[in-house]
Amino acid sequence: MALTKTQKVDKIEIVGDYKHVQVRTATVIEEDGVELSRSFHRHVVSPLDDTSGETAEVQAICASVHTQDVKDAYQAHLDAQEV
Amino acid sequence: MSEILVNTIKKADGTGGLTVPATTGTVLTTAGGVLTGDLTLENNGLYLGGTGAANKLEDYEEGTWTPTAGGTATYTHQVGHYTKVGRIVHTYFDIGISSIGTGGTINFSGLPFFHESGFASYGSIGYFNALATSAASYWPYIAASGTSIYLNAQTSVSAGVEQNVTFLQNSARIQGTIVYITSA
Repeated sequence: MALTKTQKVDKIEIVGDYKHVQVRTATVIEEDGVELSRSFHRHVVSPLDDTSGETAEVQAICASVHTQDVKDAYQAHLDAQEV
Repeated sequence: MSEILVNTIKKADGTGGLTVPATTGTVLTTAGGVLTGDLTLENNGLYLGGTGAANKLEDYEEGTWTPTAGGTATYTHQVGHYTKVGRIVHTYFDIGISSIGTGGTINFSGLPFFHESGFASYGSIGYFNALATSAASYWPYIAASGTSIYLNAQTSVSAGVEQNVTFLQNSARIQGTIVYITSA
């Protein structure tokens, strides 16, 4: 009987006007290759976030969709909400 | 009441599994189907009370997230849970700061889904201790298109609400909930 625990990014979504990148990480517990449980952990990468801690795949997606125009637009959106 | 017990259903020639015609009606098929007049299943969603876009329940998910102040902040507590039903996200957070370091003091991030544009959402605080701004009441909120939780405060009963107050510092802890809307 071998129990294994693996974590992998299993869903990446690009959503909203400012191309937020939603990342879901699945933790899978298996016994002899048979899945016993699967749980999810999520976070969002906004256009202004530091992506250095993300996976290479997420970094590549962020680099592609978080253009300077998107970053500028999101910064302007945030500035407009400040009181 | 009748009961049918079987172990295996096969085609007439003894091969493969049973194939059910992909038609709507009262039969549930691999392509979905109408179970009653108010419930429709498709292979990419569930419709309740009608079949318009506003009746579609396309997602349900439970999980965790990690509230974080960023920078060099260290923590005593970093707990986040979410349940997403359709576009509605129910979140619980518990963030306790050991040392704030270079972390942010007016918000924390890590939310599981971004907030829809056009409006903000407000929640409630269940517990707080050692926050940087003393107040009579606090309200957490997520701005439109936001991914962070900020705090509004009323420093006295007669005072107006102050937005985006400083609240995270060494030893601060805050627990609460927010329900907000994300994209589908």
